[in-house]
Amino acid sequence: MTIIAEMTDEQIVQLLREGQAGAADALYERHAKSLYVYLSHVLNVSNPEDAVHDIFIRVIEKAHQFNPKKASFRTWLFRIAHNHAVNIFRRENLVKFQSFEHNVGREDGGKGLSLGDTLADETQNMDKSVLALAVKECIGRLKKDIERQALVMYYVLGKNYEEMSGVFRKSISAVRKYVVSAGEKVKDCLEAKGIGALG
Amino acid sequence: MDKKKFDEIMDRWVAHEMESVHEIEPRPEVYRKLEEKKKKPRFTLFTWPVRLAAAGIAAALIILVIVMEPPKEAGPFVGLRKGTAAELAEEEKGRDKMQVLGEVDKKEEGRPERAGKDKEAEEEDEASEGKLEEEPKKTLREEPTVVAMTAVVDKKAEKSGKETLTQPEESAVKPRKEAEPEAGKKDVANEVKRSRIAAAAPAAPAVKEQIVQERIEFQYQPKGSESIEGLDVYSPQDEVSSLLSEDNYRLLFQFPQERYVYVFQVGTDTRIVRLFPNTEFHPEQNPLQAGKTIIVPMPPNWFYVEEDSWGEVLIYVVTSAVPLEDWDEIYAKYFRSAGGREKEKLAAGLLDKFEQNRQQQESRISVKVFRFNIH
Repeated sequence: MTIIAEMTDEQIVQLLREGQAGAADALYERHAKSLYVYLSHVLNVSNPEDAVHDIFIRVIEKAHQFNPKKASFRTWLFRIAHNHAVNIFRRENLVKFQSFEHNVGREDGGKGLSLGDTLADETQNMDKSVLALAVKECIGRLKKDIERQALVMYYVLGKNYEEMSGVFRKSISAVRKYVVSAGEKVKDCLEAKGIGALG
Repeated sequence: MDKKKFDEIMDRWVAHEMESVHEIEPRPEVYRKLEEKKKKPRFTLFTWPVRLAAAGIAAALIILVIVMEPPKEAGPFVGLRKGTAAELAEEEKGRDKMQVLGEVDKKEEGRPERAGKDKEAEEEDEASEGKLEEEPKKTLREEPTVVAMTAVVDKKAEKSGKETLTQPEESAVKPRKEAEPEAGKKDVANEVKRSRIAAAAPAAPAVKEQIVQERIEFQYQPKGSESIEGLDVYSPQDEVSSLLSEDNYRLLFQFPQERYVYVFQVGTDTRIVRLFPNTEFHPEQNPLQAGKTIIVPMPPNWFYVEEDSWGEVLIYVVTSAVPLEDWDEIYAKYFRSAGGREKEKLAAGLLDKFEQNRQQQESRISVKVFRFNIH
C-alpha cells in the first residue's frame, strides 16, 4: 500500500474526493506555505492564513472538478488562489458609471520610499530580514495587481512560465511581459535603496 | 543590477519568506468539509422528502412572485432610477452624473464633487422615489423572420467593400435623432477614430446619409486622452483588446430596420448587467427606430474601468425583430435573485442562451459578442 507522502498531488486529490482527512494534511504540508507567501504579497489582508484555509476549502468542494489531464494540481490550486485574490480586489463592482470630465486629470501621487535612507549605507552588511523587508516594500509599490501577482508567483513557483500561463489563463509571452515589467520596477526600487551593490 | 543578480536576490527573498512562515495545519472546518464529502452519497428516505418539499416550496414562491409582480424594466441592481423615458431624458439634460453599477453604498462613497444643480437633481430623484409611474407596456410586433436576416446579408455586402446595401422597406429613413451632447460640450461621436473598421464603413455619423448600415461599435478612450478608438464588433478580433484601469468605454449602435436590442455585460466575476435597455444609462426603450443611433451610456457619460480590476469582460449585443420576452424574464429573475446557487444558475442560463444563439447562424435572433481584457 502506498503511503500518502509518496503519492503525487494528483493521486492525493483522488483521496480528497473520497473525504480522507490524511489527503488534506498532505496537501497542506506541501502547498500551504507557498500559498501563504503568495497571498501575503498580493492581498492586503492582516491574516493571509484565513485566505489559505478558504482556498483549501474551495479545493475540497471542487475536488471532483479537478482534471489532471488539463493541468497539474499546483496550477489548479494557484488558479483558485488567483481567483480568490481577484474576487477580493473586485469589491463587488467592476465598472462604474461616470461622467468623462471626472476622469481627466486624476493623478495618483504614489508613496515615498520609507526605507531608502536607512538602507543606503547598509548594503554591504544587509541581513536577510532587511533584504526581505526591502523587497516586500518594492513589490508593494507595484501599482498593477497583475504585475505584483505575476512577479511573486514567478518566484514562488520556481520560475515556471508554463504553469503561470495556466494559472492566469494567458499566453506565456503575456505572463512573461508582466514578470519582466514588474521585475524592472522592483529592480529600480531596490537599486534606489542601494541593494544593487549587494555582494 | 543584472538579471542574474536580481534573480539571486529574489530567490533569497522567497527562501526567507518560506522559512518565516509557521506550519499551517488544516482547521477543523476543513475536516468537517471532508466529513460532509463522505456523507454526501448516503441518501436516506428522510432527506429526500425534505429536499423535495423544500424544492416545492421554493418553486411555489417563485411562481407566486412572478404572478404577483410581472417583470418590469429595471436598471442594474440597486440605486435604480425608475421613470418614463421622457422624464429621464429631461433629467439627463444638465446632469453630470456618475453612478456605480450595482452598489448604492459605494456609489455615494466614490462619487467626486459635483455641481450644485446635479446634487439637487439627485435629491429630486430620491424625493420622488416610490411614486414614479410605471412605464407603459410595449405592444408586441410580429415581424417576419426574413426582416431579421436582412441586416446580416447587408453586413456581408458591406464587408466585401461594396456599397450595395439594400434599402430597407421603410425607405423613408427617419432623420436620426442622435443622443445629443450637452450644450458647450464636444460631440465626441464625430471624432471617432476607427482603427480597425473596414475602409468602406461610413466616416463618423454622416449627415444626410440615405443608406443606413447596421453598426455596432465598441468605443474606448484611454485615460486622460481626448481621442476615441472604435472597434467594429463585426471585425474578427485577432487579439483580445485591452483596457487599463480608468479607461473609458461605451457602445454605439444603429440598425437599418426597427429592432429590439439588448446589450448585456458579463463582468470578470461573471456578474451580468443589462446595459440596454436600461433607463439608468439611456432613456431610449425598445423597439429601436430604424436608423437611430444610440450611444450607451448617453453622452457625455462613459463607463469606465474601475481601478485595480482586471480580467476578461464580455459584451453581448442581442438583436431581434420581435421582443425577446423570455430573455427579459430570465434577466428579471436574475436581477431579483438575492444570490447564491439560484443566481448562478440563472446567470448560467443567460450565458447559455447567448452562446447558443450566437452559434446559430440561421436564428432569428442575432447575438454578437465583444470581449476585452482589463489589465
